[in-house]
Amino acid sequence: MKYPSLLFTEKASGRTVSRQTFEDLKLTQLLSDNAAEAMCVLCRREDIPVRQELFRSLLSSSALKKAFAELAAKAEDISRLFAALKAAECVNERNYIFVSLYAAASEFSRAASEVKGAGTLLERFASFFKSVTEATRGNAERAAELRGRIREINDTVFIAEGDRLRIKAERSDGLCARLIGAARELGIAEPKMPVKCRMRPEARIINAAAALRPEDFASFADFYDRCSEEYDEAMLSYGYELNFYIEAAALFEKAEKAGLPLAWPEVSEEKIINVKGLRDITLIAKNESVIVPNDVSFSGEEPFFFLTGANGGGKTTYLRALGTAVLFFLSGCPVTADSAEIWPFGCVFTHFPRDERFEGDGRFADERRRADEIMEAQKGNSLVLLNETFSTTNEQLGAECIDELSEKLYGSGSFALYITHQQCGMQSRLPCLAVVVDGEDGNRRTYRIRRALNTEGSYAADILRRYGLDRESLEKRFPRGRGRAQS
Amino acid sequence: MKFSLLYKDAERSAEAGEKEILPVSEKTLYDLSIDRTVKELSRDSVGCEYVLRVLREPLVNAEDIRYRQDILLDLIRLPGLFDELKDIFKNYDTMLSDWSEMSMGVYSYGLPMTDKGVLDAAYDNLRITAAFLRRTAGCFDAVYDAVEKYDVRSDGLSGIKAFCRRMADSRALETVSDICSLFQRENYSSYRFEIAADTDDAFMIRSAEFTKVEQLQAHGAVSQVKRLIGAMRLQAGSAQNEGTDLGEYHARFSRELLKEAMYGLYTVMSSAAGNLYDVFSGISDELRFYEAALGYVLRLKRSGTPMCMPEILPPEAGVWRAEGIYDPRLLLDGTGGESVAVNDVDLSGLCGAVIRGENSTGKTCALRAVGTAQLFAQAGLPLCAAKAEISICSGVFTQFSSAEKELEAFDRAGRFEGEVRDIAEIMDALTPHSLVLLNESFQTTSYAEGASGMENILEAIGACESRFLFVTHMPEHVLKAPKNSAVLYFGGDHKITEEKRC
Repeated sequence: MKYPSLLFTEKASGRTVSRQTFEDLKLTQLLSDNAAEAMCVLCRREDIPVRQELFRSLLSSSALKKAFAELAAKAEDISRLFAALKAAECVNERNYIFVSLYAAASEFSRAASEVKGAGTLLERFASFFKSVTEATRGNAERAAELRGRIREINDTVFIAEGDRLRIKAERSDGLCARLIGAARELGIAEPKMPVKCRMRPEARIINAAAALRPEDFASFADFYDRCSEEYDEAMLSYGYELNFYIEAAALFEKAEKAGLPLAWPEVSEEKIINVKGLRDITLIAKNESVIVPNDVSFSGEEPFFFLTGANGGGKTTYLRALGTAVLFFLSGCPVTADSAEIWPFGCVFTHFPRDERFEGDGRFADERRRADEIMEAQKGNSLVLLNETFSTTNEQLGAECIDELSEKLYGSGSFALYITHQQCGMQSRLPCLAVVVDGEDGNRRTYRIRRALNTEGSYAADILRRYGLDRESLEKRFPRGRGRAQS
Repeated sequence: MKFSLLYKDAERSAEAGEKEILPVSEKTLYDLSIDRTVKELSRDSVGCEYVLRVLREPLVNAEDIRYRQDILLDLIRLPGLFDELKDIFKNYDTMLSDWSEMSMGVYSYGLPMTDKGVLDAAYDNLRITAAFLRRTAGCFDAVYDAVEKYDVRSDGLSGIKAFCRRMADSRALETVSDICSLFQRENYSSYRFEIAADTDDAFMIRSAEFTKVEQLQAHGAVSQVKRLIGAMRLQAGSAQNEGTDLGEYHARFSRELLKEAMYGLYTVMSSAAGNLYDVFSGISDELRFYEAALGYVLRLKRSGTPMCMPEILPPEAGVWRAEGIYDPRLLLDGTGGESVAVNDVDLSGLCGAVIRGENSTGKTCALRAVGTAQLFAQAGLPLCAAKAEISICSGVFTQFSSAEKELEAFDRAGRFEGEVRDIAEIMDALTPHSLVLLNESFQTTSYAEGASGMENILEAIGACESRFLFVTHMPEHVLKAPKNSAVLYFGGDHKITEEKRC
């Protein structure tokens, strides 16, 4: 049976973004390892709008979000039971777990068949499971019935006395329950419940427990004999796919709650990046209340920009915003911007400073090696983001290396953004961006990026005014009320 | 359920400072010399720090203040009650420290490495915790016996008395004690355990719980009878069923199961013990506050100076009236009771007062007296005054010009900026119905500049429906008191000689 993917219409693009790029762009702070792993595998150009369709449905329908969350929980259950089934050590254990697994898989199929939402991927998914549910209805009903019996017989009493162990089926109230009841009666806060344990009984114990309920276990065996061919482990991949959508949707909801706009980028026919009002989504992990928007414009004529300016002015934030936006676009997600049109790049590469990653040759050599690897892999159709690359050597050598790398990138066909503090020859020939500093406000960082430099300013301020204790500021903060003197 | 002698709503005491209670800064207590006063009244540094912490969190509700006032009045009226309570709650604290110490002792040789070692440790933890829970459950009797002898009238102490009575009679508490009594033997091998194991849909055991615990050997006739009664109670209704014998080949599984059941019960028991203990936890510390308060009352009584419980009014009433008020520091610094200068201060309906006078005429003492009275009133303490009516403040702030010696290292501009920064912080935190006490602020710049800045600030404080007291040497023609404020002039005998309304 070929289960339809929720990520690809046919197959993946075969291109992957490195895990390091996710770390450099701080996406690992926003997404779990599994979701990041799903994003690393880029989809094909034609799948971008198809995934966007699914995301749109997910973000606009709370019922679909709920359905996805339930499906993901069921998928997790299936994975757990499948692992247990593979590890079963006796027939009784195997049969018992198989009943649970079959029932869980049937529930997944039924829930999947009821998923409602627009888009190729969703419709195909729901329709597939509709037919599965129809075809397996009888066995599913039997599995549900047997699972009900499992729930009824899930407690066994052991009697431990010295080295001897006995087993019986009936039980009375436990001491924990009696203590909790007493605490409730006394009106004190309810005691903490013990943490659930995970103990796997040996086969002999399971067989002994089975012997206490021979009829039930005979039914489980019969069910296994009839249905064991019907389960396919390919179903396990749904947990991974569903969690990617759930996490990404939760992230964009959080972004919207933080006041960031969401745009659905158009897949550009030309090689351009044109984003208006781009915000760095990773700043929401830092609970930043004000996230400054910037425009981004790359084209065939201007595929490369240097980015310079004062420390703390927002250069890295700008670079990160660009990188994450392109990555989200390539994964079929929305981007945090007012509008966007982006070319479907083959890949995204980042080159960030590293402290402890070089091996033997020193930090500069490590930087060169990584830059060479990127140059080789970018294949003229990537976005390359360089952050302070070659700042670890002397000024002259650094400038030479920057010139060489930027010239190569400029002519490669890939797009690149290069943050640097160093002056180099290419900066006079290639376009530059710079952070904008408000000279009239004590060189306050505005976190805006423009094609101009403005770093002049003055620091003169009156002490009282600076602390908001001048008359004007005070009157604004404390308007006239009771007991206030006339001026 | 939790009791507190400081907070009417005891649960709130744990979250103090978050919402209703506006914290007072350490600097304010320092400026008002309250830290010195408390140090002299407290038995030790721990008590001193505790009392200061309480004072840093003034109450903002008249009922809460009266709750404390009434408890203090009970303790003043009923000699002997405080000492009894102190003894009981000191023992209460000891129980907890004993438990912690014994629990730590379980691992005194490090974490056990063998299955048997882990099981031994699990049983030891269970036994120690059972003993702690049993002792905690027995405390309610002791508290009731102590309080019952006295005619307590305050809500706080009467509430404790009634609660302890109820607990002592409770069958649920008896059940707790019975369960705890099961685990008194030194070793788990002296028991026969029945354990219910719950399995999940993958046949994984997810919980193991004792359903029956029986001692295998008797230690003595009395304990045998006790055990028999306990076992009968716990077994009531359950039929004897010995089950299928699995033999002796499951020692590891058996130990694992026992360990889970022991840790499970230990978790519930230690949590129940903690929750039960929590009912009176912290009271021993709270008594430190009352100990200092009783010491303060005793000092005032001995000096013969006036003392009163203030009438507390809501913030909106805007009342601040005290007859015969004085600074408690004067008494503690050695001034005899008869020599202490007292003043009548009435700031009701005013946005504040500018205090003027020559050096050493008692201006700062007056400022401290008002600030201390405000904080003491909102802590439920008696005041150094013959009579007082005080509206609750939402915040008390001070800016005292620092002593010269502390400022030698700074230039004038730096000192002024430091003061501006302090006041800016006050203005940022200012809410309606605050009290701002300023002592010679802005005298570190020219009078004209300082006065101009200060006038704006005083007006802003009034505009915020708050009140200020500003001690200054700035000439009257330079600094004008805002409208609806007063000017208090102090003379040579530390008394207000003249009062002017603006």
